[in-house]
Amino acid sequence: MAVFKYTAIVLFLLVSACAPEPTNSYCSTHKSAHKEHQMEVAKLVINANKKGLVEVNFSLPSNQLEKTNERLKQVENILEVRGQGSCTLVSIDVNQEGESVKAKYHLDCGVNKPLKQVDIKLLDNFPNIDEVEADIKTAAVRKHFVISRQCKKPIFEF
Amino acid sequence: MRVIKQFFSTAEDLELIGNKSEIDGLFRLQRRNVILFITLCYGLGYVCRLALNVVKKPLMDAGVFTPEEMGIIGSTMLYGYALGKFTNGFLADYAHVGRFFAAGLLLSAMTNMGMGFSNVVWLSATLWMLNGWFQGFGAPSSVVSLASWYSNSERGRYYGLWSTAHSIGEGLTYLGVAFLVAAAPKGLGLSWQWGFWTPAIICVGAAFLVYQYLPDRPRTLGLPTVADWRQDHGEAKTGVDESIWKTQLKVLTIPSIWILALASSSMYITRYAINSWGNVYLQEIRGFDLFDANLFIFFNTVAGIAGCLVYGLVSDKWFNARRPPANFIFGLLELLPLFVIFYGPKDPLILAAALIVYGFGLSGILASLGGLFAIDIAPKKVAGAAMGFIGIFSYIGAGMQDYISGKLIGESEIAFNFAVSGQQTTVFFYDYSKPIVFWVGASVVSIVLAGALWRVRASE
Repeated sequence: MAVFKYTAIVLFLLVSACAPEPTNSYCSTHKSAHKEHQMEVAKLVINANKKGLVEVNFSLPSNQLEKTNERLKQVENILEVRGQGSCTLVSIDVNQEGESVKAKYHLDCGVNKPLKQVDIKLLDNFPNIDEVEADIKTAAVRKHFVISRQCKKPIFEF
Repeated sequence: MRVIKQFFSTAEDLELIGNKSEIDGLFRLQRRNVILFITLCYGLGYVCRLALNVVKKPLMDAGVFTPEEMGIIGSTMLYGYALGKFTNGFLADYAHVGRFFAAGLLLSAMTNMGMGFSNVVWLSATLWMLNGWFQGFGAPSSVVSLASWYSNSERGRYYGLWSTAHSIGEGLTYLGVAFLVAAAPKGLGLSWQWGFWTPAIICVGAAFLVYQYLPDRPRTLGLPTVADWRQDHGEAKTGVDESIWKTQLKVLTIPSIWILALASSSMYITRYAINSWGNVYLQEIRGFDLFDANLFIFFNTVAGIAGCLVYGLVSDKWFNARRPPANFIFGLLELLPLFVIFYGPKDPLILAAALIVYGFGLSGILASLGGLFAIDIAPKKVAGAAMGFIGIFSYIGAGMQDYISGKLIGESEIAFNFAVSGQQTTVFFYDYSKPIVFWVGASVVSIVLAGALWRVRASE
């Protein structure tokens, strides 16, 4: 019986010594609040299919660009794709449509050369962008989430 | 050392009680205690075994462990369990099962406690392997109790009842632990550490119950063997005067036991694939949140309770204690829903229905391949060894599965890194198509192997 008693005391002490992690109120409430400003947020849509083709669509309100859309014409300012082989840039198309700027990039990474890593550089290279809504589809799965400068983790199911 | 050995050893046989009504009364009381406490406490002990599965995705998302590392940690537990079930199976034949079982639960609680403090792969893998070893005290103790207190013609039903413990434990884990760590409003939003600490507390309670209420063998209480008491003997009463060790070795010379071990091993690949990776698959590929994904897995475990009970009844009553026909029926009920789950329509209702049928079929066939059929075939006084032998194969299969699945999933990984003000946020994408072929294929192999035992019947 003594074993159980002391085990219970140790367990209680261990558990009671722990405190919950601090949370950021913006991040914890943004799941429900995102829709309110969804139209003003930069959007990134990536479709990477089985044939090794990667299609990237990026749009943002033009007021989030510093001056011109020149930087959008360099794909390395947007993302860098790494796979088993190297990827070739097939086309770039950047257009101003009303109050937003739209950019399309096509890359060919080769059949049977799966992607391993994609580095998205938008938030580093475009300081006026605070948040990106990403919709990414690979051959197996699609994920829709928000990346915000204020949050350490992506926000899903908004 | 001698004191420990003495504490855990089964007591000497006592002289038989002369009064028949006293024998009947004692048998009734202890048989009730046995089935109640092995079922309840084995189920509660399960929570300490499966905690990692629920917190797998939070651990992967937080970058604490990669899928491959999770696979390594998960597989060490299953290897530890395989070894534990085998060696403890042999030990359980000599043990006071109440004390033996209680020690396993208590030690398992300690390792779960430690897991909550570790974010180092080798430490977590070691702790989880030890947990597997300690978890391996429970099943042999329970099976030895069943073999000691229930006779051939009723064992299917009671074994089925005890097997519901797997589902009770899985259900408690996939719903209870998921509730603790799932984000509000569906859960309490506690950190992943609580996914280990709460099961630890539960296992301490279970250890206390089993220590208090699970009895030693009938002969140590002055009762006759259950076969004599119920006048229920099998085909041949072999090796009555043979030592336990010699009879245990004989188990290894029975070809059916080897085939059964391979069949069970294959089925355990599928079982632990769904248990370990099913909720991660549902979150990653099907887009459910942690709570809902675990709720789906919970449906399968609840259906498992019915599966165990119905399997015992069907094989005992419809097929006159013949397991192979029931194995075939339950095998198909397990296999066909897998195609619906992975390749069928994406409707959540269909997914839930498929998981329910899968859980029902799986629990039934597992009750048989994982133990009941083995103790039918083996001499009864070495039921623990027979169970241990099947167990080591089963959990080697399960352990290999965890590592292979983790590796296949890890190899398919695509990391989308978002550089944010000097920091980096990563969202991982995985492809489960190769692991799924592996999981479903294992079930097919298992059913074919089990079919090869069509003509095998119970001994003693």
